[in-house]
This record gives sequence, structure tokens and C-alpha cells, in this order.
Amino acid sequence: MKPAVVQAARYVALVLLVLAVGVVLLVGGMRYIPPVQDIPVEVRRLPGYAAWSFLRMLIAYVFALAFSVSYGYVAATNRRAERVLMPLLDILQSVPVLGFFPAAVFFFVNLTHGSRLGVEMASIFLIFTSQAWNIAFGCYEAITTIPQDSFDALASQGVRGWRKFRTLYLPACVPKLVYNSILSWAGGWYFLIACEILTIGPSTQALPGLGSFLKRASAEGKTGLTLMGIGVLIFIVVAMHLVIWRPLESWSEKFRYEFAASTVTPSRMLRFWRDFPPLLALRRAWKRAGTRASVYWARVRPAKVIADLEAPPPMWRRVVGRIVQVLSIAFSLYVLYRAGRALVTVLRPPWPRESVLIPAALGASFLRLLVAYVVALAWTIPVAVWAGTRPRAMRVVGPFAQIASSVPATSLFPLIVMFVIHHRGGTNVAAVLLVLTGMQWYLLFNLLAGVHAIPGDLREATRSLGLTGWKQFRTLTLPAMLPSLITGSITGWGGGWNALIVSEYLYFGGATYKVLGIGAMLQESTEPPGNQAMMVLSLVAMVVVIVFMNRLFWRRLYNVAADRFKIEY
Amino acid sequence: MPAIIEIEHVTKIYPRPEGESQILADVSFEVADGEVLAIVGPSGCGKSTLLRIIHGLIPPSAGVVRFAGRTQEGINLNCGMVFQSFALLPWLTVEENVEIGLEARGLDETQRHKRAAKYLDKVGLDGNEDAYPRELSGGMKQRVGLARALAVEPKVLLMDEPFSALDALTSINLREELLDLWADPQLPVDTIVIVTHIIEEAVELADRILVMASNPGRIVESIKVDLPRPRQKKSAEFAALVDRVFSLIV
Amino acid sequence: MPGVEPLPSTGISKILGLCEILDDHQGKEDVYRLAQDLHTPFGELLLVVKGAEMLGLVETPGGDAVLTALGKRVLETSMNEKKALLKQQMLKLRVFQHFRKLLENAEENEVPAEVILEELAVLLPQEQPRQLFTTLLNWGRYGEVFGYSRDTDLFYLQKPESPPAG
Repeated sequence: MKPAVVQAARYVALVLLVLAVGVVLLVGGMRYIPPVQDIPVEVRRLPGYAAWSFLRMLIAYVFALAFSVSYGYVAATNRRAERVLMPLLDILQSVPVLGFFPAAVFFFVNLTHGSRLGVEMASIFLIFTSQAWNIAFGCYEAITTIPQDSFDALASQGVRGWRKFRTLYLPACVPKLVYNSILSWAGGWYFLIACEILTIGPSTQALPGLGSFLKRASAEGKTGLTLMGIGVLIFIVVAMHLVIWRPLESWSEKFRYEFAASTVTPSRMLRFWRDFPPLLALRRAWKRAGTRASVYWARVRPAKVIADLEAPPPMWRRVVGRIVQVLSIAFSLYVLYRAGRALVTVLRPPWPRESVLIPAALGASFLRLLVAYVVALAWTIPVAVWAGTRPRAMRVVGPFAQIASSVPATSLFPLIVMFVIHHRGGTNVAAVLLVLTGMQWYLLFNLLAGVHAIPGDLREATRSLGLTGWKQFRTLTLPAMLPSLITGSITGWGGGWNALIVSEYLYFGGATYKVLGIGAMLQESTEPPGNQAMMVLSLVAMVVVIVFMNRLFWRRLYNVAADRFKIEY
Repeated sequence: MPAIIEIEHVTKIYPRPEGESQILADVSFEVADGEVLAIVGPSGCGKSTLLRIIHGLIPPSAGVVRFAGRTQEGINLNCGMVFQSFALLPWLTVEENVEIGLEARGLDETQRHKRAAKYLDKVGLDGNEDAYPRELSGGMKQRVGLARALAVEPKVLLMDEPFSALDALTSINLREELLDLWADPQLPVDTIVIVTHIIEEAVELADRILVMASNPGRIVESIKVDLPRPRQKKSAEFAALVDRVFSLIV
Repeated sequence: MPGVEPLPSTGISKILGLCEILDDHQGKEDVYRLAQDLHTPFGELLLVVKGAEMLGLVETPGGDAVLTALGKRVLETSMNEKKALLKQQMLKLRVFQHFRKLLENAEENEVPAEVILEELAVLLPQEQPRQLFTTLLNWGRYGEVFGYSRDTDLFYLQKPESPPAG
């Protein structure tokens, strides 16, 4: 009995220590991070800005990873939880992230009594939300596709609990985790840059970072420095790809169940990391600590030879579990209640005059999205068809597209705006272009994958039947890539709605340019003094339209297409 | 020989949207200590489910499983199981796959290494320790499965169609090696329960054959195999036994 | 290089299985008949027979496969002796000798897999290097001659071991 109690006490002490450190950091940080009002546009500050931006991304990613792995794990292993968590995830994925930024800033700034830390937390929270759902979904998919035999084999060997998580669940998630992390970082950069830019409205606090640097530089007309800033960003993205993502992709092949020939080329960088002395020492130490702890634990609580898996858990565990359950339900209800009350006060009539324009704004935004969508299709389909069937082209286009999509288009906004804005109808064109950048990569990737997956013998068969060129496209390629086209469109439109928020209301060179659109309305409502009612109304309107479109249109279309056009033998 | 496993009135029912599906109906039998028992039957007769109930991976809907006299509730870690699909974790090497259950039993690193090396040697996989499953042929993979099951030194070895996923020649090879292993007095495993749909395999390996029927899954007959070892597969007695079992299944 | 025979793309388990089944047939059987009995494609069985022949376990007069004395012995010995006998046979093959020498001359007795693949392409230009590599590794691992670690991508020479515990 004694060793077990001692063990438990040690764990509790460790947890308390971690919490204490966290609290100290938070409180201390609040006092020591100086507020920044000005973003001087100077080359020598660039590395500092880059470091700040990167740090935000990293912190958000770590949180997102921890959260999403647990979320996906719980949803995948607990039937009852799954019924709530997965639909919730679905909705969360459809909500445009940037719509929440003003609210997040408001919340966190109030929480930290107006310090810069609040704004930092808001931006980190924003990046977190743009990354987490993707990863959670990936984990869920990975765990639910683990073959039953693996579970049986582990159960047969007496592997349970944390050991099972470490040996089975976590490794099984790795391929999807890596892939989705790359996407998440790309998305994260996009939003980070955008929200660093957003922050520099007329009087809010500025966050030092690449986004604000770019915004300032272009606003001051310093093209050279703007380009340099974009260059730094591209450098970081490319460096991350070469040094981190490629080796990780290579390493993650080890964790796949399917033994299909991979398209990932072996990475020399991976070998470098593997032999890198500090990492090697760290890995060895981790492994040793892990197994030593688990062996010790096994000795303290040896696996009973006839393991009592059906028996109900001991009384104290049940009581604690019930208390935790009650507390968390109570807490959630309380939060819902407060949110509900706040919402009711905000939405109390009379509604602001501008709300009448919401339907028209939605329509205008929708049109812009449609135009951007058509333009995106116009270039991504030919590229996908051309590159997807030529392996040599894929080897070039693939990585290029991956890196290009990781470079946040939001960093190019200032440039694009600078060049387009002064022409007639310029704001609309700029808006469409900016929305386009948020849509096209999702389309390209999905289309590439779809065309690439068309079996070679089907292509040969159509050719031998005399169906070439346009005819082949119409009979084979187009139908075969329809499911991927729809998946890409779903995510593309999601990206488009997000981009809309930063595209329809532009603050440039001291002037504001705006068009009639729901994004503009949302943005405008955050301008001081801030129109909370409009913020909520426009956000709700947008979310409703998006969820509506997803469920009633895209999902149905996908089911029909998958049913009819999926290639299976 | 005393019975090491007793199955009493075991029934298994799965609820389905169209109504319940009864996989096993009132199955009762014993497994004697030290015998090789084969369970044969047509596909769908529930023999794999029965094996998992014996192990404790699946609880029976009704009935009781007893091991060495004690009623079993949950997974019985005195058994080791070999799977038709090998069930190896693709991200672990051969050695790591074999060691997977040893940590849970409190063995430290040296002990685990020794234990794994011992059983890898017995199945002939010495030299393959750092291979990953995807590099191995089916026969090698199943050897890993076997070594893994043996490494926990179980009293009973359960085998679920262990050679069905292998080609003819490899199965012949592995069957022989299994017999050699079983004859090895150093092996802690005395009792083997093997599920198969290949009658010749059952007659070649087993001391006793349980014949099952389907819809619902139940035991039709228990046949003792008295042929001397090594079994002469071309002998008349062998063929007669095969025919007898076959006629019971059809 | 003259005299280097390509390794047939088949594994040790199948070769041993062939020996077993020949033993059941009193040591000799027509290959075509065997293919039918086993429901194996004839071409595939031929590869197995070739492999067994290269290792000296089987002879092929006419259309038959005949178990040699060595083949019979392999069936009847213990696991470790079986492996030792097969290792001996493997090392009589030019291909194995070539790579053993190559590895003995290499630093730490190991080379990247690419080197092996290139050598194979040069040595046996009519064959698929990947397939040869897989067979070389499958046989080599069984006989404890060669080894390969995917993590480091290194093909290495296995050192003779002390007898295993237990």
C-alpha cells in the first residue's frame, strides 16, 4: 500500500508545481511585458519581429497539440463523448476564425486589465483555434481506423492505460498529426499576420511582429522594406519546411499501417536530426525514464493475472469522477448562462440601423466568393490535371505548392492592396484577389491528390479507346476528381469566408477602403467605440450562412459524388 | 488429465438493428492441461469469437469461463494469443514487438531483452531483431507473433487461424516448426487451442478436435485423434479422419 | 562478373516448406504435380525450387524435385543447427561472398542501402535491384549473415554471436 500512496503523492506534487510555475509566469508576465504603441519600421528590428511572430505561433501550436490530441483521443475512445464532441468539432471547424478576433481581444484585454499580454493572449488564442480543430479531427480519424487486431493484441499482452496510449494511440496518430500540423502552421501564419495587422486599427495596441511590420511599412510606402519583411517570412517558412517538416514527414512514414509505396522521398535532414547529439541524448533519457517509471509502476501495481476489466472502479474513484463531472457541467452551464445573458443584452432591440443591410451585405460577399471560386478553379484545374498525371511534374509542383501555401497570403495583402487600390472599382478587385488567396491552395491540393489517385490503367484504357484530350477529361478525369473537387471546395470556401473578413475593409495609407459586404460590416463594428450588436449580428449571420451551405449543399453534393464517382474495385 | 479451462453454457449474442444475432449458443466443453485442441467449423460458426471469450477479450453474454478452477472475469493473462493477421505494430521493430507485454509484467530492460532474445531464437528470428514488420514476409511476421505470445510465458497458447493468411508452402513450414516447438520440453506452454478451417491442419496438429456448426454456433462433436506422432499425412487413417470431420461440418 | 547467379525472389519459409512437402512425398515429386497439389502458380513454385536448389537442399533431375541428404538433414535438426547449415550454404554463393567481402572492407562493416542497390544493379543488370535486395536481406537475416536497419538505412554484416540465453 505504502509505495502506491507515495507514488500518488509524488504525482500530485508534480502537478501542483507545474501549476504554480504557470501562475507565477502569468502574473509576472503581465507586469513585465511592456505595452507597445509604435512599430518602427527598421531593418534592424526585423529579426526581433520575426522572433515574436514565431514565438506566438509556437506557443499556440503547443497548446493546440495538447488540446487536440486529448480531444481526438476522448472522442475516438468514448462512445458517449463522441456523440457530442464530433458534431461540435464540425461546427467549430465551420466557424470563421477571424470573426472571433475582436471578441477575443475584448475578453482577454479585460481579463488582464488592459495590458499588452491580453492582446498577445488573444492572438495566441486565435492561432490556437485555427490549428486545433484540424489536428483534433486528424487524431480522431487516425484512432478510429486502428485495426481491431491491434487492440486485441495489446489487450492480450496486458497493455493498458498510459502504456497503451504511448504504444498504440499516440504512434497511430503520428502520420495525420504531422500532415495536419503542416496545414495548421500554414493556416496559423495566415491568421497571425492578419491579426497583427488588424490590431493596428486607429487606436488599439500594436503587437510587435512581422504582420504589423508589413502593415506599417506598406502604409508608409516603403516598398523595399515591405519586400524585405515578406522575404524574411518566406525564409522562415521555407527553412521550417526543410529543417522540420520534411524530416518529420519522412519519419512519420514509419507509423503507417498501409504499406503502400509512399510519395515522400527519404530525407537527409532526418538523418541529421537522428544523429544530433543533444536530441539523441534527450530521446534516450526520455525512453529510459519512461520505461523505468512504467516498470516501477508495474511492480507497484502488478498486472493481475486475470485482469478485472469488468469490475466497477473503486468507490473513491467513482466519487471523485462524479464530483468532477458535476463541477464541469455546472461550470459549463454557468459559462453558457453568462454568455447567453451577455448576448441578450447586446441583441436587445432596437437593432442598429445598419443591420438592415445585412442580407444585402451577405449577398455581395457571396458574389465575391463566387467570382474568386471560379477564378481559382480556372487555374487550379488545369494545373492539377497537368501535374497530377506526370510524376516528374508532381515532384516539383508538390513541394512548391506546399511551401507556397504555407507563406501566408495575408503578408502579401499590403502589396496587393498598394497596387490595385487606386484603380476604379479597386477595392472590389482587391477584395476578390485577397479572397482568392485564401481559397486556391485548398483547391489545388485536393485536386492534385484527386487526379494523382486516378489509376493508371483507367487512363490507359480511355486512351486506347480513342478518348484523348478534352474527351478524356470529360469522361474520366473530371468525374474521377469530383469528390476531391468537392472536398477542396468545402475547405476552400471555408478559407474564403475567413479571408473575406480581412479583405472587404482595408485600412491603407491613412484612408479606409470598404465595400458592401459582411466582412466589412464585421470589421467596421470593431472600430472604436465598437458596435457590439452589429458585431454579434454580422457574425451570427455569417456563421448561419456557412453552416447552412455546408450541411445542405456541400455535404449532400459530396455524398452524391462519392457514391457515384468513387473509384473502388 | 485435469481440465485447465472449462467453458460452461457460454452464449454470445450481439444486438443488431435488425434484431439480435446469436453467435454462440450454449457452448460447453473442457480443455485438458497439456493437450492440443483444435476447433474447426465453417465460417461464421463463431469459433474466433469463442477463442476470444476463452481469452477474456470478449465477455460472454451468458455462461462462465473457468481457468484452473477460478471463474474468469476479464482478460486472462495466463493465455497468449496468435492472430491470423499477425497484429504487429508497424512502428515497432521485431524485438520491440515481442517485448511489448513484458514491461507490463514488471521486467526491467535487461530482463526484457533476454526474454525477447530467447523466444526470437526459438522461432528462428535471431538476426531479425531490428527489422520492421513491413520488411518481413508473412511467414516471418507470424513467427514474430508467435514469439510475442510465447515471451509472456503463458500457460495456454491460443491461435486464431494462425496460418490462414499464409501461402501453402509457408504454412507447411510453420506448422512443422510449431510442432517442434511444442515438443520442446523447455517451453512453458503445455496447452494449445487452435482455431482453423483447414481440416488437414487440425488432424495433423491436434490431440482432439471440436467440430462446430453455425447458425447458431454450437459444438457438434468432439473427436479424439489417436494417430501416432509424427503424423503421416498420406496414411489411410489420416485421410479417414479428415473425411469424418468433413462430413460432420457439411 | 561471370558466375554470379541471381537470387530467385522467394523467402526462406517457402523453401523450407518445399523441403517439408517433398519429405512427405518420400523425398521426390514432379514439380508440376506439386504446383497443382498446393494450388500454387507454377511459376512461383519454380522460383522456390530454384532457391532450394541454390542452397543445395534440392536437386532437379528432369521435371522432378528431389530432396538431397542435406535437405533431409535440415528438416530434422534443431532450429539453430538448421540456421547454421543454411548459413554455410548461403556463403557458398558468389553473391553472398561478394557482399560479405564488400562489408568486411567497409568502415564498421556497414554501408548505406543505396550502395548495395547500386552494386546489385552492376552485378546483375538483368534483374530488379530492389527485389534482389529484399531476397538477399531475407536470406541473409535468417542465416544471420547480413542485417539492415531502416532507421539508419545501413546494411551491415552480422557479427557471430555468443550462444543465446536459455
